[in-house]
Amino acid sequence: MKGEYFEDFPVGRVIETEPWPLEVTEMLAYARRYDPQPYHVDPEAAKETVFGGLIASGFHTVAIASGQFVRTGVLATAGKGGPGMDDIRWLKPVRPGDVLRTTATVREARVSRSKPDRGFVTLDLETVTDAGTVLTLSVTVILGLREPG
Amino acid sequence: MTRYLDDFTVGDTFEGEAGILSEAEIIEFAEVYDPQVFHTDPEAAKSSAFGGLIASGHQTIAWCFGQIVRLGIFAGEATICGADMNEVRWLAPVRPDMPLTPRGEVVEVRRSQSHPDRGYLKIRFSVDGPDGTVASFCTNTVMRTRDDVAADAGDRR
Repeated sequence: MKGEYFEDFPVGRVIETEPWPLEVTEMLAYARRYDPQPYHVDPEAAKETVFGGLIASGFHTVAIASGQFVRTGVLATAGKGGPGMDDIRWLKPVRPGDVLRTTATVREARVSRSKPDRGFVTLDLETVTDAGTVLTLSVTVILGLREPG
Repeated sequence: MTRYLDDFTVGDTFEGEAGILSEAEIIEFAEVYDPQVFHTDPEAAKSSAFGGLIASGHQTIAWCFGQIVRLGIFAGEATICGADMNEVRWLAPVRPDMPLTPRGEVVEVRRSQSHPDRGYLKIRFSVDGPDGTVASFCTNTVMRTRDDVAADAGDRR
């Protein structure tokens, strides 16, 4: 893939990602380490909860969606990390066997005032399964400029 | 014992067990969820913007949340669901074996207008590095039943 820089992220650009089939083994491995609540780690106990069965940790689905975006490779050349995320909404439970499909859309792009060799790009991520939209969030990344200044 | 919504007060603080993220754990997480060289390749990371390997921000907030969950404050039947998360900020790099302290602080307790048996609990989670610097934080809102009477009423619906 050709190297992508800040200039390659105009507002409105849509970036598709590869589908992510979420198996129960991955859900359990993640949740045991990072979110050990019964409806995330115990398939039997989960049946007695309001969810009626195992669901993915919200932190896990956020990491997957972001990971799908990272795996497109658009940050590989000029990516310099990012300040964070905003407006994360968990709209529906994600269950074992669901296939997560995530699309990123550029919402805002601006050159840094303090460091004019780079810029901030804010993207809206939407993740859907067969149940509909399960997650939306916005993430801001820092990208170097192809032609600084 | 289950802590219901009414058992939380704005200003309540929680401190989870301190710990570290090892280089192996940082790489293992990032290879799946955040494959960028400054998270996955200690050598290549040296010439990145961060000058060395750092943990994925997703891993730092999730580790913090997990440590607070292990305190048991969310145990029991009162959690209905996670509602949202705002203001996730990665403020300083988290490097391998850096001492980390996970903290939580209740910033809002709000009863639901439409469902009087429940409400929203908003907690700011933060990962403190050495010298008390905040490495990252996030603010989460969860829906919880208000008290045990409300929980019983909910069961009977």
